[in-house]
Amino acid sequence: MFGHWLTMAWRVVKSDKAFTLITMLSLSVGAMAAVLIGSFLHEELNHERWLTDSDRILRVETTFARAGRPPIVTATTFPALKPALDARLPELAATSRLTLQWNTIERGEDRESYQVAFVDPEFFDLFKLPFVEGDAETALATPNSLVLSETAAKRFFGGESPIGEILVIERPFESVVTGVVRDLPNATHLLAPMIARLDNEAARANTPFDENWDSFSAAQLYAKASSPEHAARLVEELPSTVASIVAASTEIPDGVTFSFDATPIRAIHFSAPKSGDLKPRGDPVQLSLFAAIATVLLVVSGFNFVILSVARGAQRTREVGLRKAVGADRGVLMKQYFVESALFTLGGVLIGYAAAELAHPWFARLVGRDLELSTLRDPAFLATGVAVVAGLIVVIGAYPAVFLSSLRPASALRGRERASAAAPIITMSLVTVQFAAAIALTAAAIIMASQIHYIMNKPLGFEPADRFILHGVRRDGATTLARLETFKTRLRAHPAIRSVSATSVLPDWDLDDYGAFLLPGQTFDEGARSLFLSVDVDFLKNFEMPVVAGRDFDIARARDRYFYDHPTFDDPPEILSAVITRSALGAVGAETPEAAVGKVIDFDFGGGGFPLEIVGVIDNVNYRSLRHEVEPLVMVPMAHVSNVFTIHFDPARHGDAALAIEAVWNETYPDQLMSLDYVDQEMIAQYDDDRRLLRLALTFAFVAVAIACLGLYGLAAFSVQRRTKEVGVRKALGATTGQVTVLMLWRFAVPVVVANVIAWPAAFFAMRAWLGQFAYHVPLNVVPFAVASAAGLAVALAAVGGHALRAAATRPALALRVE
Amino acid sequence: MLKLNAVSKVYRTDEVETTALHDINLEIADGEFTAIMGPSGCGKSTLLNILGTLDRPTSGEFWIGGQDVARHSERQLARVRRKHIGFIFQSFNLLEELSVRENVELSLLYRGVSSGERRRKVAAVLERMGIAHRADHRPSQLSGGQQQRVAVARALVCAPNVVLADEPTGNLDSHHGDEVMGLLKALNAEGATIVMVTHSADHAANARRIVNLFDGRIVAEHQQAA
Repeated sequence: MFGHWLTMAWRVVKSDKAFTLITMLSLSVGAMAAVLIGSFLHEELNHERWLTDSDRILRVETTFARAGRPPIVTATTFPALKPALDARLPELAATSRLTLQWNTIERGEDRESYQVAFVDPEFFDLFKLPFVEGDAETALATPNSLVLSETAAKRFFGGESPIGEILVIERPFESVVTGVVRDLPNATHLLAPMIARLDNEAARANTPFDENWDSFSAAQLYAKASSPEHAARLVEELPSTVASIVAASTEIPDGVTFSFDATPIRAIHFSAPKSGDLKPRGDPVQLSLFAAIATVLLVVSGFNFVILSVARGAQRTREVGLRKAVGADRGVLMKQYFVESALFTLGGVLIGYAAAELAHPWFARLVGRDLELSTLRDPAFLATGVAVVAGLIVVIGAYPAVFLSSLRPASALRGRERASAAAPIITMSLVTVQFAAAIALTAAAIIMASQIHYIMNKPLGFEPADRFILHGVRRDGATTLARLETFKTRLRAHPAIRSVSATSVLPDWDLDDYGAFLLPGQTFDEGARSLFLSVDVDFLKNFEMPVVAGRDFDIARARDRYFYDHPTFDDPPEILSAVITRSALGAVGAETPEAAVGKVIDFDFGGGGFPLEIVGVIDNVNYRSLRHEVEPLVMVPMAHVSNVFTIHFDPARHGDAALAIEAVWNETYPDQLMSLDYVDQEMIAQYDDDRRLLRLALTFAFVAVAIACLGLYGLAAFSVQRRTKEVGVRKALGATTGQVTVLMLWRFAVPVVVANVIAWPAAFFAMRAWLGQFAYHVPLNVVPFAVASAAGLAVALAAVGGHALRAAATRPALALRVE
Repeated sequence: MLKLNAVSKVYRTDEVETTALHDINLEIADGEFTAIMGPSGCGKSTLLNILGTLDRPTSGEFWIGGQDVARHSERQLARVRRKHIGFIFQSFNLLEELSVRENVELSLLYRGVSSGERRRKVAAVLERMGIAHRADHRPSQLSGGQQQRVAVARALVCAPNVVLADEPTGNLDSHHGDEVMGLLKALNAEGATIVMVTHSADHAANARRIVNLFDGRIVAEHQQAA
């Protein structure tokens, strides 16, 4: 019997080409989208699981709290905790610290910037990374050992074995390559292109790490339990153990509390973001959104099978009648049609899976991730897939099976069996859901697109175009400022350069240096908060920030040039010049910009500060991304703490400018690699996630619309066939072709119109939440919804229009002859 | 033996009631060849559907093989059909997706006959119908007469004791029509009960008994010499 079902299913596939094409195409597109999104979800949800003993490794994390201020939650802890913890808990299998540092790596003339993970020698007892060359026991045996990732090894040594070779980390420190480990998969928070010991000479942290109770942000600390059960116990017990060690080892200032967490590394990716994270956390909201979209697309693509099976049921009623006449009962027919559904689903899903393999690199670009193709063959991923497909088969196979097997034989044999009263309601409901998904996604995509257009074009209070940013300015105490000034002076002499400025933080980096203006008698907690930015005297000119009252910084004045003359904090200034934004007027107790100028007011960081004289006021600056409200901002000349240069160049001499910068850099900073970017591009990069989400929304909206239209197209084809006679009668009674066309179209327009009832609220709430992340956003009005609805209706009518016209144009005599 | 006791069939659609059969009493003995005649819409096909358990009477009893099946469940009715009944239709009702052999095999499939036996029985019946050489063709590749022979083969392959034929010659030219009538007569001679709906007085003449239906009632009935 099963053989007969297979034969029958296969022949139905072959004989009904339109049905097969539409249902298979829909299913495979839906399955492809689901597989691609699924692979992304799988990678996100399975962080660290690939790692041996990942269920035994914990990370010690620190929360620092002061009365009246938000706590600082870090992924790091005190470096000295490691030896103390080893002594207190000898039952731990291993512990290791890790700290990341950018370094210039050299081999002969070959130089490149690399992140090096400095760790304890026990690191490979904790993390059993797969060695390609060398081994875990000896790799970190001596202080100048260096373990490379495969990619890093290939970068410096090509195909040759690097074992025993020398690499320079931060000239002049030489390290010997002792091992090569396979590149780590994406699903980890560990970052280790190069691994060296904490006591390597190149490690800047080689202040005695074992005694460092000063900085709780200095290192990650991992501990490995003796068993998973032990690990579970440690999650409970370790925080208090650590707290008692810390309390006994260091003096904690009044009003300060430290608390600790032992976070299982498998949980790191989805716990709340912490300062010092090695990798951005997974975003559960985004993942749920993706999961929802994948589910909707898959199910909606399966609906076409249900819709068309029922619509086509008319063609198969005779078959059902005959099978019943020759003795089939309902159960056996239900099984047959269910098997048929299952085969169709399976076929569509397999095609979709194959397509997903091909589309995988494209999808990886779309989500902006380096996704691994191997995920698609991961047994756990496949097992999930099988379960999902089984569910899908039930969802889309059940109704056609029940529907077809329920037809009554006597009337079915005459081909007259009308579908049960529920059938058209069910088909039309499914079409409605399909269009609801399509319209909602389209509306969402339109809203996202307009928001992104808005934030890309909103005036920010400064001019980011035609400016380079130069990273990697080295701060080395006394000589920092002298080198900065040399660099600026030399560069400014070049005709392609308009101005140069040094600053600590660039606009696209989320500035979070806060202090408070203290009006007379106020304490720190009462003072008005303001962002604090250290700049040089050329900063306002360089970014074309117009002064609305008072003046720009002036190198000739003592309060402006104080730190130029005293480039350390050892000798605090009496009064410093400052420029504030309009938004800070309230904080300094001024009504107008003019009133603020000349005021002298204390500025405090919560543990000290200095008085500022407001010398100028500028318009508001969106220094942080537009997710944040404009905040009060105060700028003070402190060039000696600069990290970056920003360089305004003549766009017509763009290439010359870049060459000049490189030449001057190499003269001034011969020991540093240069890293040049464009300010406006870095500005845009902070919205990369949003633009990616937009691309995904656009793609999926298109897929949903295509699937819905395919289904409607097929449905129209079948039902127009069935209604030919009706057309004949209407025309015989005097209806025009136009009237009949409108009548046919209206029938298909109804579910699309009804779909808006679902689509609008769904898109509205989702988009309200999304826009809510932005302090500045486009208003949420009816336009995008109306446009999406109109577009949905238009493509739907286009999909069915051909059929409707053809049916309506049939000559009545021919139409009436049908049956 | 088939026995209808006061059988009525009423179709209800919303407000309208249509009585298709009206208090029918009919007894058909085993081995009898009965023709049912009457104008379009008189209830012939409804009567045949009830006799074939494809439809259930609204009221009355229908005795078949010693049990009243009028109130049987769908599953029970399917079992009755498998056990007793073979159908031949005016429009053949062959499944286009299946070959001649597979169409004939269909009834055996639902009876759970083993594949070896199926092959043997199908081969035998196709041979008997003279269409063995067409076994692997699709129905649409055959002439009308050949298609109806396939349909007859499908009805016969399970050796039913009742064969119900709904205008079996309606779509055939006279030559092929006569051929099918010959087959039915031969079947009857072998002991099968045959009930045939027909418009053709000529073909009805082949039956031993003719029942005339008008407006859902039996209006005349006569026996004729074999």
